[in-house]
Amino acid sequence: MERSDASARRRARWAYELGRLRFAAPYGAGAAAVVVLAGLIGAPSPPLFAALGVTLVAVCIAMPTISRRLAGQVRPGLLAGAVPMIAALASARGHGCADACSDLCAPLCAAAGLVVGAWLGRSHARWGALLVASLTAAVGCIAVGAGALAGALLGLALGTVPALAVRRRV
Amino acid sequence: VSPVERGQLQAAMSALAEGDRGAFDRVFSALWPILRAVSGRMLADASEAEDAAQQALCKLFAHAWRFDGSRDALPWALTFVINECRTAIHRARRRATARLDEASIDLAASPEALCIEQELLVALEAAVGRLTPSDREALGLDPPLQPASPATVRKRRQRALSRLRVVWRKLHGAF
Repeated sequence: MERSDASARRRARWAYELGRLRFAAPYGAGAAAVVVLAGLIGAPSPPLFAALGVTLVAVCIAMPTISRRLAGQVRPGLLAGAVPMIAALASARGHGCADACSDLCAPLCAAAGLVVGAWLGRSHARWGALLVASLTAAVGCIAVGAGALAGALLGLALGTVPALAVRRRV
Repeated sequence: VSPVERGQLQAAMSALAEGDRGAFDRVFSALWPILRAVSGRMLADASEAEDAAQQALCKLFAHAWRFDGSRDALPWALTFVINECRTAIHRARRRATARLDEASIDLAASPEALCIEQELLVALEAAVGRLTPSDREALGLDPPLQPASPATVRKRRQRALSRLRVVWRKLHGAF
């Protein structure tokens, strides 16, 4: 009987974890769609882009798998990160700059990051959302260059971190 | 299940749905005996009952993330085991029917078998006697009066068999 109980417990635990992965799958699919979109719009340096893309998808699967509370932070994070990502990719395309662009693209990424960072801070001030937004922005901004990437991340951080700090104190 | 235990189960199930792995043991300890007891009552075969309880348990935990905390956890959990037991019952019925279809009576096996066969033949004759001439013709017991296409013959035979089943049930009860 005890052996049967142990076996049932093991099977139930395994089923639970698989169920949670199934719950997380649409979030991972959403993140993968964002990465594919970024890849289609602009073709950044493949190894770094792939590493960031895989990390983003893995984070977007891991967060809902861990808890439903973290799952709620994935969508706002993806939405927030998509703005600087699209801004970076679109400006890089229109501007015609490839690797290092500091005239328009980098300030644009920083501005977009700041705006969505402020929105994220006001509505979804959570570290998980900031992480997803940063990775999403990075997937796009890496195509423009390190300056744009740093600008977007700085903007996001400036917009979100004060709200996170206030929330923590409260 | 007492109201207190039910409340504890509700809280643990809600926590598990949220992703709190710490609630796993509480939910398992509360539900596993209940699932086993229900399947034990619904299924006569002990091993089938155990299998059904385990299947229900796995399905329950696989869908735990879907659990809505505003709903009662116990009926939600019982749905899994009841569905699993119903499936097992249907499966067992299908198996029994298939065995009956495959079974052939060895005529020369024993005097008892011959006696049973005689009784079955008498019973079958009584049932066939109540069928219409067209049904007997469809079953091949009477010569066909007019030719028909194979599809029509098949359909008529199917209908005649279902009518024979009804007559048999009326005369002799279920198979």
